[in-house]
Amino acid sequence: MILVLFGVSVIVFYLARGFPSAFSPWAQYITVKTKPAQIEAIIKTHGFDQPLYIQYWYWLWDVFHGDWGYSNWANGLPTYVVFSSRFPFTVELTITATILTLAIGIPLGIVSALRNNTAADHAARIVALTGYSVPSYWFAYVLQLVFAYYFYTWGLPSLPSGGIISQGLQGTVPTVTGLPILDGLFAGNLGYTADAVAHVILPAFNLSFISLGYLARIVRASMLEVLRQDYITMARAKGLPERIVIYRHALRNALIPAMTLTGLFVAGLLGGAIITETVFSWPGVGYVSLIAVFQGDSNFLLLYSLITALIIVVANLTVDVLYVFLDPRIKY
Amino acid sequence: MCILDVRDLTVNFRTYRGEVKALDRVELRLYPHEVLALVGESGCGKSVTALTILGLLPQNAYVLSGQIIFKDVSLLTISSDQMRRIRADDIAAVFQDPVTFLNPVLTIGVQLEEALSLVQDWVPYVRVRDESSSEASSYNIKDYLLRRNPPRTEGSEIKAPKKMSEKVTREFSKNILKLVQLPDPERILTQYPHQLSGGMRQRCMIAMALARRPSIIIADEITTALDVTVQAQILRLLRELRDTIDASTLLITHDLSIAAEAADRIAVMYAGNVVEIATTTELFRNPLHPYTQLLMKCIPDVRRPVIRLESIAGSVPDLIDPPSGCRFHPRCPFATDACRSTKPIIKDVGSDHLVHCHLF
Amino acid sequence: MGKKTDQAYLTRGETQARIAELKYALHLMRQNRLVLSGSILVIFFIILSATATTIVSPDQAFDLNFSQSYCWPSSIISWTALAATCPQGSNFLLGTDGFGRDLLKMIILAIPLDISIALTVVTVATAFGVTVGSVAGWVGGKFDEIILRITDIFFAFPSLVLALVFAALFGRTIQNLTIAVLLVWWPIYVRLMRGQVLVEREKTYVEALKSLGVKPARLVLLHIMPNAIYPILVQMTLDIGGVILTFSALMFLGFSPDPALPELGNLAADGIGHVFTAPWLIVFPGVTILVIALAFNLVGDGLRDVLDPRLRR
Repeated sequence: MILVLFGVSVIVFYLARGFPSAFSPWAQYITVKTKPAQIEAIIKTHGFDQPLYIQYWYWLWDVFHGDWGYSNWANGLPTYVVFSSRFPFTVELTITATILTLAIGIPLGIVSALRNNTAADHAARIVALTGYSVPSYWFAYVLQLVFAYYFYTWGLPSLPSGGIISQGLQGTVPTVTGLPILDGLFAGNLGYTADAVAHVILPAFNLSFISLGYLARIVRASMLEVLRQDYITMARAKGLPERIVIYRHALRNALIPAMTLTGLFVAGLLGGAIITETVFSWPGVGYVSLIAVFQGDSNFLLLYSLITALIIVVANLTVDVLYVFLDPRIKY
Repeated sequence: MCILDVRDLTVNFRTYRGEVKALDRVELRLYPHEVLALVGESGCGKSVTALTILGLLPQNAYVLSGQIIFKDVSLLTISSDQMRRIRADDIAAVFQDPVTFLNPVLTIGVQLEEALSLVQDWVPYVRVRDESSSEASSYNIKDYLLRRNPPRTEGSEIKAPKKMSEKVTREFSKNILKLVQLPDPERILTQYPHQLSGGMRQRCMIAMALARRPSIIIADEITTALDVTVQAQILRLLRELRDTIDASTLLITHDLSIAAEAADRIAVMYAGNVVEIATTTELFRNPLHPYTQLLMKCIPDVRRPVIRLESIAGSVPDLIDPPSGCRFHPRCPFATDACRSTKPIIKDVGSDHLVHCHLF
Repeated sequence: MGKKTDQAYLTRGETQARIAELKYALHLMRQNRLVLSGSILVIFFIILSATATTIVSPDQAFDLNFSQSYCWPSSIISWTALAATCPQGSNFLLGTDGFGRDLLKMIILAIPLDISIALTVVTVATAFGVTVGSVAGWVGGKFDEIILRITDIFFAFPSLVLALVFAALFGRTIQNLTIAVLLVWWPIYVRLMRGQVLVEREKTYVEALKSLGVKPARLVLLHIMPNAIYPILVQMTLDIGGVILTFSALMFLGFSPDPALPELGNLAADGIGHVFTAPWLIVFPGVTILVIALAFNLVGDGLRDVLDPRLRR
């Protein structure tokens, strides 16, 4: 695992600093007015003229002392502050999207499996496949068009088209967790919570639409396989009602592979869903990383890519551990 | 008089390559408190018969004709809900390979208690005089299994709750596991199927069948996946249980020697037909059908020196396009023209010995 | 060992069995109406890509006319209150884009570009991934470990980020963007093939062939590959849609070399600032991508159902 993180950091470092590109690593520290002599001085102090591996060593040293560098475009804040101030919003989006995915994807897969090759299966299949055929940016805009614009013009209750909370309500609730929905609940301010929910629904649905299709297919495939197993025949031979056969016997076995997928999905989302956040003006980590790429902010990108890599690695480990719990046949 | 009557049962399977005529006018009768063995090669339709009786045929199978009468109920015409009820109460099945037939992610306890949870219509003993005794201890597992109602004593109350309480279920589970001679039932209840040995798993399956107090137990090749010593143990267990339980057993096996040891009557099947039914002694003393005779010759005798293992010439017919007339005629040493053209009907040759053959 | 046994070609029986399997698979696929419609759509799009330049001449892309930009032909369907209507007599079926070009014609020109890039990426990624994966799976040991770690590192990047970073650094040309997408896609084939080889390697027929003296290269190519190919075929079909989605997403985010390039994501990007004045600019290119991806996914999904040996009857 350390090896993977190391590899990631090396690759990003090389790409950001060493590669001849349009962005100079010292662009962070200068403005238009900086004179060439000052630029020289900056280059010298930050060591940008040193060979790359020395630069990498400096960076590593700084990191171990907690200095991740500054992001000039974000008012010169330290990068980890930039990250941590946005992270809770991404978390809120991730949690909502995961709930939606599981709540819609799993039943869709079950229906497909139980009514295999009937009209319901075909309908479910189209929904699921559309899910992962759809370009997420396009779907995001369509959602905005329909639910924010058209509903509004047609006089129907409409959803807001972006942001985490309405302008008027900003800052009316003390920040406990950083997630607007939870903060609203803690403060007992239901209006705030409702507004936060209204804001998170569209982007969360956009995110989940794509993976619920995938989840549904996997659930369907594993359900079909499980339903052909002998122990299902045995359960029916015991005279158990079909409902119990499906939910207690079949699902427990079929959902195991689906859980792996969900874990990875959550990990990917926590890294920030760039497109969705951009379209919905959701001030999360993905949104900010796009800006960083265009600004050539290597410090932030290093922090960001390392944290995302860490999340994915941890997610993989968690999923492995979860497997041991779910399937009693696997022992460590 | 007989509790299970299978008449003229014909079952087909629809497959990509054609229709498989799995069962062809099968006739079978099962009497109370007896063990009937259904013997035949792999693929002759034994398991299909069992599945049809249970109503668990896969979706591409259908019953072309025939009847199955169980205690005056026609099993093929009742609704699936009623059939489910019968599977929960009256007809229990034990299958071949417990590894695949037990759910790997559920404990033995859960799977056993499931079987108990479906039980209706049980009446517990209540000892009125000693009210401080726990509920469970006043229940007698043997009486439970024999469905015997407690006697009405003066001033006693008979409580007949709809379903068993958790405590009772737990006690009964342990007792039933003890009945099938499993050591340390407490621990087994918490274990998963893969943690037990093959013989223990099979006993658990038998326990799950017994728990429902069935009138018929269908045992589909229950010893095939076990090695010989464990096989002997299981057969002995079944023998010992015969007095405790009140059920008839349909023992399905491909091994004639197991049938000889455990069964009262034997039915021999070939390619979807029942070719001969007789009591065990009668069958071995006087095998009539050519197939049965050839089968008997195939069993090596431990007492005599082995010269050469016998086998039956030819191979099992393709059931998509079975031979005309009697399905055994291509391999039969006594085949006549009649055998090739028409199907034989059952003949009763006396002392309850039935044969499907033109020779008689 | 004589030369004959050294060759160990596929026996007649094996080939006949494989053909029978394939026939059965096709039969199953034909029965499923959804998959059938998907395959028809795929064929339609491929024919369209091949003939696109004859339907619409490519220099239509350069036919810029700013006086009729962002307009919608008919006043019957009014998209939004702010959408402009095209001048009388113009016959744009799907409206115009920011350069005043007919959107429908641009979409038709864009389809071959996207599909050919997708096919290229998938083919190259598969060829490379399968080779590396089978070697890693067969040889095992240190080499296998290293390859595994490398794929792990690639997997640790969210796919869009990797392509983004590469594109941002190497400059915006179509070749570079293709390579960027390729970088995201190749590890999965390595993993897939490696997994398959690992499983097949333990099977008895491989041992039998080895004992006959068949060389590893031939063994893997002629014997293991046909058994292992099914999940890879499925993945390839499904990935075509995925590549189109990612590639157009890159264009959409602003990495297009030329704002006037007829490419589905690029056409949609034109509509970002005009969501309420010209929504058709985002809607129609997106719908096209959706339909293409859906068609390939239907076929791939059907293939997966059919070729999975466990799900077959």
